[in-house]
Amino acid sequence: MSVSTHVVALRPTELEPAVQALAAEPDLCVLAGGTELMVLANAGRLRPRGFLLIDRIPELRGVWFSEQEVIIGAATTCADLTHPDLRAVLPALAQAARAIGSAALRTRATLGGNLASGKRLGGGPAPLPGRDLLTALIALGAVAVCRTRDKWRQVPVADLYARDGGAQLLPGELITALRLPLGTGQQGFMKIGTRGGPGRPVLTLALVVDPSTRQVACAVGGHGPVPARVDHAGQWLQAHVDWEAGAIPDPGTYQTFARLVAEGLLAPLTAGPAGASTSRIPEEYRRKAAEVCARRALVRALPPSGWLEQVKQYQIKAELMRARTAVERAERGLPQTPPVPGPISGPVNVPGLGALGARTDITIPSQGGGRA
Amino acid sequence: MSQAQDFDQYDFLSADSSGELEIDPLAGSGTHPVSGNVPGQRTPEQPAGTPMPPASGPFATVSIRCVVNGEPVEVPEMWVADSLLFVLRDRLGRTAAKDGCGEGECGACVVLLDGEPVLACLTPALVAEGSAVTTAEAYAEGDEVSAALAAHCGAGCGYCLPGIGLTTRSLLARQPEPSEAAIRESLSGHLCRCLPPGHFIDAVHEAVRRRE
Repeated sequence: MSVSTHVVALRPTELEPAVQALAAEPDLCVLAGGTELMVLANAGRLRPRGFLLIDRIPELRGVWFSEQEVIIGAATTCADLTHPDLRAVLPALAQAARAIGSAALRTRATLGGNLASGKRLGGGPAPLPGRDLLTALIALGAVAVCRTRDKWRQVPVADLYARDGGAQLLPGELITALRLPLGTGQQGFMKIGTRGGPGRPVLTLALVVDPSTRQVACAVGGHGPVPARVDHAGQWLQAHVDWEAGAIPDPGTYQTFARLVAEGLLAPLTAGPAGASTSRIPEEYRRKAAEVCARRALVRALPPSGWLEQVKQYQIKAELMRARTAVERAERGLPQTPPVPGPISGPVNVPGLGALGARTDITIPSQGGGRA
Repeated sequence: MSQAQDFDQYDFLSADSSGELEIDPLAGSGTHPVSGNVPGQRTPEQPAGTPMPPASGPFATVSIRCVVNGEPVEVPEMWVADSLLFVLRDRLGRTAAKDGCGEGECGACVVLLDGEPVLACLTPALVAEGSAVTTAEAYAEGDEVSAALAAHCGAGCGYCLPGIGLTTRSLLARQPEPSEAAIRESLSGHLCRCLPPGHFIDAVHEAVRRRE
């Protein structure tokens, strides 16, 4: 690629040069898939000084398994997320990824791009209320790992956003990965769009049940820039499930849970930033949609009985996946270590779900000394 | 840009019936250096997907090399955020990929980038550097997929067909005998306003038969 007076386009193949370049020229526009930035560029609303392409960095792409968590590189595409293997261990995220755009869009749209998309900090309102993946990630209790040249930063995804919905990334900062607790398959994601199939969300709902800790997390999105957790419904449900037998004895439970979720959508302070809607869908329709989605998601995640067997099968599948990805990575010469800082100091409580990685800032001691 | 704006520009029957088009009062100020357009507005000659940078600031340009339909090409002095669709159609003259919505909704612009279907309107031409791009022009007459689509979907206008053809080929490369669900899933990103979806599913089934 030709270069004029300043850097116009960079396409590093490793993380380190990418963050170095971004530190040297913070106004480079980071581009992974380009599916959002190109909408702006095509409409004449973006004239970048230069692009930093991060779509060819193997460290940022793919999935790593450890004993307690799954780490997904930020430049992993939505098509990768819908892969049957990943769908087996993270059904909610896979379903959310499948709800984004069309198949051709998903081959380029990335996980990190979805998080950084939408409203810019201090910018005008977002052109599109997207971020479908964020609903699933918030319910899953994901932690975003960010990296500047000198520092790692880990923050629960919900805290990555300002109250107005703008992504709070520091100058020269890249989202490198997402850490997700290794849950079980009792998850669900629902989306109602303005038309069937791909499209802008009217409502997105993610439900994540963890039978081992007996916790239920539910997040509702599509009504504002950032999805909101509806915790009270999960807390209520906790007491109405027979966890020992793996059953829900009273069929009325589903309906009540759905009503609680829909009410949470309306209650102030639980309905996301200022409860502001980003589209012209009537509140009543949205509430009804939330009720229906919540009921269906719960029926699929926790059928009236017999899900202990599902949990067992799920654990076998997850174990298989873990072994296989390690072997595949070695065979194909892909990076064995995920783009996250080494040991994490002290646990952080992601509200509602069990504790996972900490909200930590880790300074990288030496220049170019690789990862901590 | 709002839909209403677009409609206003095409709505020749509205308001005064003198038959003359009114000239936009904004057109004099802040025009695009090349096209003379007001940023953020489109004219009928300049369809969706054409990049229109804001009125100020320098254009960052770059040149790329890639392989289009097996032929190595070089695109000099390209705006860094030019879409692959713009470069293919307006710089290289490969007009098989169609310019539909410019927002990734319609699927008319699908091309294969290293064998994977991508939306050319939302793919920066920059990422094609060193890659192989395939458009519908790569397939001559006698290709099974083209023949099947012509047989079953010939009644439509054909605007969506280049993209559908390429998606079908990439589907058949992955799954030689796809199920109906797989066909529906992979064609779900292509909008057709002429024909019902059944015609396309029949066409894919026929392409499978013709390949055998």
